Amino acid sequence: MNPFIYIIVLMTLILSTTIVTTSSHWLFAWIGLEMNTMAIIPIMMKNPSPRATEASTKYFLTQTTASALLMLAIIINLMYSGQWTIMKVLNPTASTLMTTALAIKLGLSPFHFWVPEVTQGIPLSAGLILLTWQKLAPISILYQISPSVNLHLMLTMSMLSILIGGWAGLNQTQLRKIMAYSSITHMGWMTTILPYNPTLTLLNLMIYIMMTFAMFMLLILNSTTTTLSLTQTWNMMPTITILIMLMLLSMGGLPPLTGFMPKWMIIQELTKNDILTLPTLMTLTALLNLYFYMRLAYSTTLTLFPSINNMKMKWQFYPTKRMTLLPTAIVLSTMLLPITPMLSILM
Amino acid sequence: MMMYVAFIMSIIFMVSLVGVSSKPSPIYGGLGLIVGGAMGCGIVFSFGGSFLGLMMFLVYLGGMLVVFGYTTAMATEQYPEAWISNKVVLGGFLLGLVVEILAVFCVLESENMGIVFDFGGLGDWDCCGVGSFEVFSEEIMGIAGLYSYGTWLVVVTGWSLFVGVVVVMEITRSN
Repeated sequence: MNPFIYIIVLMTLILSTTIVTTSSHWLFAWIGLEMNTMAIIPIMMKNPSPRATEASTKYFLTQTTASALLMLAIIINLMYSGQWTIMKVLNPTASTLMTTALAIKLGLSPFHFWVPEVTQGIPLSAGLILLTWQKLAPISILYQISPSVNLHLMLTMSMLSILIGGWAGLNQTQLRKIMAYSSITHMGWMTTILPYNPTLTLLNLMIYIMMTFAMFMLLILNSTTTTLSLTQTWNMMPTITILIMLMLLSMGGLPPLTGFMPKWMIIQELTKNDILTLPTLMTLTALLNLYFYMRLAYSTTLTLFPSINNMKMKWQFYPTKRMTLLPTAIVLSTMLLPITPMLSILM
Repeated sequence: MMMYVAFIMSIIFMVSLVGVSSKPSPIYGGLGLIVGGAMGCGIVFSFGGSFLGLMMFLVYLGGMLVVFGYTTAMATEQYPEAWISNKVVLGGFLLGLVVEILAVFCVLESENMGIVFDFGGLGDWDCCGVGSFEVFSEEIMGIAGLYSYGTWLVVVTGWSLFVGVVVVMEITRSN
């Protein structure tokens, strides 16, 4: 892409999320969300192909539908409260519509169908931006309206997201689709705790972004998009092989690693509210997620996947790709658990 | 009768938008948008916003739709799809029409036509000014406010429209 245009589009992407997170006027937040949708489309179409066009079209259609629903909710809120300030939405119709619109933007069930298809059709770096940066704006709005979010709607959508993200990810070998289903599951965990303690939503979001960033950087370093090509990593970059396993286990939420922290905090917060069935169901369905992470770790790190003999004797070159912030992200995604008491500095 | 003019205009607005979204060829879609835009302007007029309605006629119908019409005329096919040439398009249009008629009956039969008329507030007679109580049109005060207090909003809106054009150009150019 023309570098000048690329800079404009990236700056608009950053500006749009900044506008959404810092505005106190509903119209401005809506404008920011629309700019967000427009600005990421050229990034998704960086390598033009019919597949990328299809993915960009699907993304654009779902996001603008959600924006239209959000505008409807904003105007209903205006009609009944007479003001444009972003605060808890007192009219239940407006609140339900707003929650639904933001759920479509985030990719929560039952509006999750666009996430794997869009993530699959775009290059890995665009997928990284889609699954990390694009989540900031809707969650910032959800955080601001969290006191008035309809409890039943939110918990149903999030429980369904955790279940579907785990279950549908079981049959995938394409790494981008696996990351998409992982995103759906993590969004489900984040929105579960939103009506009870929104601070934990932000904590989960920060840790999820770090883990997803590290995972995508590892995949970009390897230039792999399928499980099969990931299994050749042991011959090319042995260190990365171990790091991939640690990242996958952290994303699955296993204890000595950082990924356990948000799950632990969320379950603790839910039990403090005397809810026992929901965290049990959430933990059990998170095992589905852990299964396909473990399958990836098994085929990549723990075993030598069957291959032809030529593939077992490669020259090990120094990697020339720029590993942006990779060591930082990996350390932060695996070793933050002991400083959990200090987790408030993440916000 | 005059009381219901905004309601009638909104019905024609909805029907023309149904005609657009039942996916005929873009030429006929543009025709639907013209009628819909004109009805929308009429609704804005009937609520007292004469300046903004005429602005919309000028910019939307006279600028954007004209450009759209020219580009569609350049890219049109020999036998464009109209509303009656294809059963699917006709079915979609009829479905939208039936739902619109049902909605109209619902609104007419209910006691309070709260959807259309009851917006609350002082309407377009809003009191601005601190010392002496003068009466200004809310619409004119809004436009004045946009260019004085709302400078940042104008900048952001202008930037996002510019980025929209840049994005469309970037996607559709072939490299």
